[in-house]
Amino acid sequence: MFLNPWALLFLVAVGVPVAVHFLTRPKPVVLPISTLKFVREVIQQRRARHWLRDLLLLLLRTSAVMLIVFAVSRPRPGMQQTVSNDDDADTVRVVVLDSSLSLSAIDGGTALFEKARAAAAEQLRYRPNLRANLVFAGAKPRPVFDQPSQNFDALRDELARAKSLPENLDVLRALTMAAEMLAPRDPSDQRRRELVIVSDFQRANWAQADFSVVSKETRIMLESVTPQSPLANLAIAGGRVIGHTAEQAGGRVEVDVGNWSSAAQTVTVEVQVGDATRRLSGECPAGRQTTLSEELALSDFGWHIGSARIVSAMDALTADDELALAVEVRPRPSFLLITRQASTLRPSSSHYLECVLAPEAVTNNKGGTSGSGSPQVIRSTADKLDAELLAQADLIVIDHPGTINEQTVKNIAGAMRRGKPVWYVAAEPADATTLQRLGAELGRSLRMPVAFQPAPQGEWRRNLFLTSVKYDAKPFSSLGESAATLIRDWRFSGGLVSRPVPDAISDDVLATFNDGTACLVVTATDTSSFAVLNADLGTSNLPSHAAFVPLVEELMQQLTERRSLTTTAHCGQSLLVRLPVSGTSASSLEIIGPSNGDAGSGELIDEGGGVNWRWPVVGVPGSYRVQQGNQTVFALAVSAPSEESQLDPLSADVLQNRLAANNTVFYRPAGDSEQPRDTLWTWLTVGCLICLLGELGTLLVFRT
Amino acid sequence: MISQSRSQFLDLASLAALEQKRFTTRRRIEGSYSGRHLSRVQGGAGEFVDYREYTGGEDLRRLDWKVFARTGKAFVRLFQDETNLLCTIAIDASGSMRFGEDAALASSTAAKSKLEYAQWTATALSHIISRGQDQVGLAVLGSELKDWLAPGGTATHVARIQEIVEQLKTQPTTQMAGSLRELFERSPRRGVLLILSDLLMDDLQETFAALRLFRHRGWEVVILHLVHPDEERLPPGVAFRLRGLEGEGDVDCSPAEIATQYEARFAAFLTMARQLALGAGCDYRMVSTAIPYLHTLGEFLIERAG
Repeated sequence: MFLNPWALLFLVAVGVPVAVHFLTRPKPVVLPISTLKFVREVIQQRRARHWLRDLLLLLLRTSAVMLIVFAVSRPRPGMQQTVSNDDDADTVRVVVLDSSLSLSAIDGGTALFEKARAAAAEQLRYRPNLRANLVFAGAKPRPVFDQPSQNFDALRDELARAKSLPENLDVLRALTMAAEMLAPRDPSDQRRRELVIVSDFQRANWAQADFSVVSKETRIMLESVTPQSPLANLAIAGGRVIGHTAEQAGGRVEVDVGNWSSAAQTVTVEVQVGDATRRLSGECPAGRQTTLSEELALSDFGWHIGSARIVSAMDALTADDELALAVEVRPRPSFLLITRQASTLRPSSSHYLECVLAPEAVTNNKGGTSGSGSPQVIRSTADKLDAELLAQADLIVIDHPGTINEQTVKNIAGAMRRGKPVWYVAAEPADATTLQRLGAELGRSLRMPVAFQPAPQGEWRRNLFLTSVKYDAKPFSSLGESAATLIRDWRFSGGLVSRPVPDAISDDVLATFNDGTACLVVTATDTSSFAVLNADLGTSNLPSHAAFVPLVEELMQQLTERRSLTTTAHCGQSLLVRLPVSGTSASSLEIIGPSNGDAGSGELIDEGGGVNWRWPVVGVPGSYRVQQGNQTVFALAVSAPSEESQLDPLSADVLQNRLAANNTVFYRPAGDSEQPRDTLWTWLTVGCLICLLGELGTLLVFRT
Repeated sequence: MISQSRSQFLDLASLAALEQKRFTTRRRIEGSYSGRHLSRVQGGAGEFVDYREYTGGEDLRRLDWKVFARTGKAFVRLFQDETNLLCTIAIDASGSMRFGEDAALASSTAAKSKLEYAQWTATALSHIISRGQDQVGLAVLGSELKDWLAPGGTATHVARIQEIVEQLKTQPTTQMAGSLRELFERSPRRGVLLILSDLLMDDLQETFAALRLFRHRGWEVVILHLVHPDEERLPPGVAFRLRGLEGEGDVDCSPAEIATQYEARFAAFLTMARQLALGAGCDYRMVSTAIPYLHTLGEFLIERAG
């Protein structure tokens, strides 16, 4: 705060004028007088005038002394209050440099990152007794050294080579790492600790900041590079190509455009996916996202990659004006019905399901179960189930499977890990065992809210009806306002008894029978979704109700939607994709990225009976393809996080007060250079002279 | 008459030059005995001054029979009586009269305190008046009438007066009107009231109201306003703690800063005192204690003698 803090000791001189004032008051000579009342009358007229004169003189003299003392001590408000390069105190300093995408924004022809680099370099100048470290803060903090060092040359070299990354900023991780570096090694470590953060202090990132992880003794200095006037930015916050299946003739492309400026703009986005090109245009209001959409027909099955790009954007941040797209045009969905019931057995539970899944036809697969339906439904018994059948299915439906051997359960669990949704109709006691083994196989990735058990011996479950239904959740929400009326007539038989699992998510139980057992449970695993209908459809009256078909279709859609095959990723994040391939090994696959550089694109690993794509830190934005020969088996669109597009900063007041967590946080705005502030001492000197002149003027005005 | 006084303030050698002078009055007065002063009474003795037509009931002894016989008209002869003077010397014994007693603090070392000056003057006056076969009394004024001796003419009486004057002590009071009223009540006969005072009192208006009572009864009131030269201006210096002589407390000030205003204020006081005195029909004379009392007294007696 002060260049010469020792000079503050002379503040005691402030008392000198006061002391002089009292000490130099002449010792009065006692004089008896007869005309005291005349003296009093005269003095009464002059007393206020003298009092004012004395007070003014005292104030001016005291102020003059104070000002000259402060001028000598060279006060430096702002940065100099916390971080000083001019003293020799033992200091540990960590400079956290925001390297997120928002620092790529251009202000006045200069990227914010260049300003940040200069500000950080200022803090990494050599000084004896100073140890420093540099942390590039992005999605993951990247320190130059593990501990603060005196190798300033290396720090500056790293700083010179640094550039902003297309990542978001994980503030908490960066602060935590800095706090660990600044933590004292032992109780005797009394070095001064300084944390300098150079950033644009985006609201989207810094609203979550918590400085409580930093010790109270640490001096925290926030150096902002945000310009005074807000930067206008247009960004493609998201994009998707939807509705592309073989059954649907055409789909749509939707692009979310964020207009983070102060005025509405007409935005044109050029979308190119595969061979198709579309131009989307629309009015985007200021300060929010707007979704532009256009029909987009993709005729070929398979993976398509492309991009969406804002045309002729004139904004601060160009990196978010383009978004990679990856979409799979899939053939008509196929369902695998695992049952031991014959397709000719009508009515039966499996027959009802088959009718809903493929009302037009029933096909017979090599599994041997008979059927004359469409090819979308493949019947198979559990003992004839293999991995290829599982890989072909979009939804696995299990109904009256009987006893399933352990290998088949493993195969089903493996398919679930690769994103295959499973609908289990638990009708028989054997299903309880299968569900337990399936849960054990999936481990922690499957957290069922209830545990199913066979009904006690001799107890026959029948005439069960629903007492608790989540009408606002799928699939019951599709029934609309008449759901309660429709459900009232439903009667169920068969199934298993259930008991709640402690600490499980009870919201996944969507319907409950009158005996307290679960009727319908829909839950999610790490990669797919899993539903259990706890009833025998063959002996229940649900299939005969009109609501059965829409209910099941809604449930199927819900399950297939949850199939979480990641097709998008954000830069800086870690990625794990279980590739939807079977019968192949990682060596036969190849990742092709948007550039041929050595930016890296992760690696393909044979794991868990399939191939996983692992990428610890997702690299540059663009479309990535996994190819087997000339065939694309998977595509991934990597983009920058959309929250980096909102460039409006958090106010200094919020940072210093609300988020400071009792730490003393100093904030220096951009452009607030140190040099002008160092001239404060001259103004203090001028103030001192003014006080002295004021004293003379006072004496002249009040002269006697 | 041989003085019996042993007062230290009675310097007969110095007063020898003034013994031929008389304290006279311009008005006719009432006296107890025959004397040198014109009496308010025009009786049948003394010097003939006029005739006046006889009115019924008058003393036939004063009828001028010769004129009556010659003219047939009755006239009475008027004679101017001469009587002695009854003079009461009133001395202000308030604390302010002590001003100047500490010569070391005063700028004028020659000046004594006003009280001492008054003591010298009163002693001398009592001596001169008694030497003129007049009667002299004494009143010591304070918040109340401290000492009072009715006018008398014996040597013992005069000695008693001078003794009281010698032993005069001040009292810290700023009031004098009450003692004057008390004196008025105790004085049944007209005479001359000679006041020696600095007039530094809070009840100045009331004091002159009391003096107007004397004038209304026919007294001749003579005010000798004693002013110490150091009162007219403040002493030079930077800081003084001025302490009131009548218990008014202390005031710290730098006299240099208020000298001009003070002098103006004191001059205004002198003017006001003079105007009040003249307005009340009093004979006013400002007496500076810097002037020797004998000189002042001489001038005063000459002036009185006309």
